Amino acid sequence: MPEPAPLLALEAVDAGYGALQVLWGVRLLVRHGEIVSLIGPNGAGKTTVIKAILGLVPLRRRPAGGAIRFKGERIDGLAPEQVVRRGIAVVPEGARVFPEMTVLDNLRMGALAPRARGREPQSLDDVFTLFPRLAERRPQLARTLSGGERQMLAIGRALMSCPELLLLDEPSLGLQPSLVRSIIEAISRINERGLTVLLIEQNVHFSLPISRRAYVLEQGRVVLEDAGPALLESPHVRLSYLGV
Amino acid sequence: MTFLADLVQTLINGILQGGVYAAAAVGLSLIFGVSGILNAAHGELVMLGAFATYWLFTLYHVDPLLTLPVSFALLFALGFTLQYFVLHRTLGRPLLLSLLVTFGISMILVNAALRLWSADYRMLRIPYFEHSLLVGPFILPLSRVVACAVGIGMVAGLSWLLASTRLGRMIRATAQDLEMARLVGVNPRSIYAVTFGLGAGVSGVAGSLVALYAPVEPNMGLTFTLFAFAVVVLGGLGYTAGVVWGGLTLGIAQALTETYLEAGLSLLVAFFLLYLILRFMPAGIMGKGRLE
Ligand SMILES: Nc1ncnc2c1ncn2[C@@H]1O[C@H](COP(=O)(O)OP(=O)(O)O)[C@@H](O)[C@H]1O
Ligand SMILES: [Mg+2]
Repeated sequence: MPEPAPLLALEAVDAGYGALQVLWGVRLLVRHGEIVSLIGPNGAGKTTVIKAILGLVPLRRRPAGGAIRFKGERIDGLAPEQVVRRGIAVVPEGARVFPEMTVLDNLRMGALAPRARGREPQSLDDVFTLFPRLAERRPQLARTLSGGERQMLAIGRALMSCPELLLLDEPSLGLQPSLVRSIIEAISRINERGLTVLLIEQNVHFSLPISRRAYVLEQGRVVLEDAGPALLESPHVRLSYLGV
Repeated sequence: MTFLADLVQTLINGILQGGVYAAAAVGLSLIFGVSGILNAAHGELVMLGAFATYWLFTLYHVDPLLTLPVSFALLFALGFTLQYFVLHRTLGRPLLLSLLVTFGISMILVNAALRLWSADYRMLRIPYFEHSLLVGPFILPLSRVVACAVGIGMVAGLSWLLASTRLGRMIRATAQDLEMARLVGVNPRSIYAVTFGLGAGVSGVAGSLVALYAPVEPNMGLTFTLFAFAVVVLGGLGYTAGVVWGGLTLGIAQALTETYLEAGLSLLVAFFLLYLILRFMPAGIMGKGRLE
């Protein structure tokens, strides 16, 4: 029996900003139900990988810089709004909640796609169960939230679209350790309910144990790939990311 | 006593005019707040709305109040088309470019109107609007009361749409963070076009309201562009409901000058207020404008 197509596949992706090429032949797979981590030092190109998937950064044109497939179909070349409507949701770097909108309106903005609209009340309940803090802050403007609450809101907004794949770009950046742990736990719980996750996370001692597989990106190239827990034991990762 | 009565009558006149100013400015505020386009053809949209009402009434005897939705629909279509096919290309470019392009559009619209309808001043004669309400010693011309009430109501309706509907949320999200709005599935080209359509539509209705009591002519737009700009700044840039405060301030200030100084200074009053507000209260009268 042939293996089913991976949910997401980056096939030798070259991409960058104008003349500056950042990603060099990046290959990356995310299969149904997995949590896949992408780690690497600052400036390695992790955010650029997410942007390439979302159509915010074009792949190199000539010679053609690879391909990106979602459920077997090419999505490179699509506009961001078309990519997300296929079932990909993102928690971007810095959360990017809509600052002058209430918590509730931010969440509703997540449920724009026709298939998510009908499930809006149910999705809201689910998000409020996952993050009770958001339920309390429902009528508050998003700009008045703390950093941790903003990340919760951005995750909630992403979940409102009933996605098949969730991309998270450093959801714990700048948060205190207890909050980092609870965000990672929430991601783990979301995954247990069947959602596939691609996670960029610097706190590798939290993120790698819950990751089925993980990739290490350095200077725009994938230099290591392994099971998450195994990668945590690798000398390279221990030296570069844990300082031991 | 006559002094006090004069003053109250003057304030009434100013408020009645101010409501219409608010209606005539809210579209400019909305479009600038969402797309960052300073629409130099704004007054021409008001002018077209006024002509729509004039011709529908004159040629087909449509009740002027029933022309309002038609005026809205026509201008919505025009605004949507302009944004979707022409102004779309100016997004993300310097402000000056959209200013130049919309200035060009205003010239085309004025000249087309002159060709089609000549430079004549035209006045609607609506028998049931020639009455005035008499409240004690004060006179409230019915046409102006209706224009003011409908104008303020329209601003309230637009504010409600922005605050409480799915479309309103999409528009606000796009204004606050374009890229993030796209990442939740908003098609920015459509949203900008709908926003321009809405802004043009309400401006058209404002023109229809003006036609209830003032003459209609192809060159009437420029004054409305200038007044609308003053009203938006007075109310606070980026604070849509602020046009009500801006409109009332301009209307009252002009009425006071007319009564106590000299008629014909209305444009000067607008510029003087604009100077004062920019100098001393750059976030608008209510201090709720967003400065960028
Ligand atoms: N908008 C941009 N324009 C030009 N260069 C950029 C832009 N964003 C990121 N870069 C460059 O691309 C490289 C990778 O950045 P990024 O993907 O943000 O790294 P990471 O997320 O791993 O920290 C860096 O050298 C950065 O300077
Ligand atoms: Mg990054």
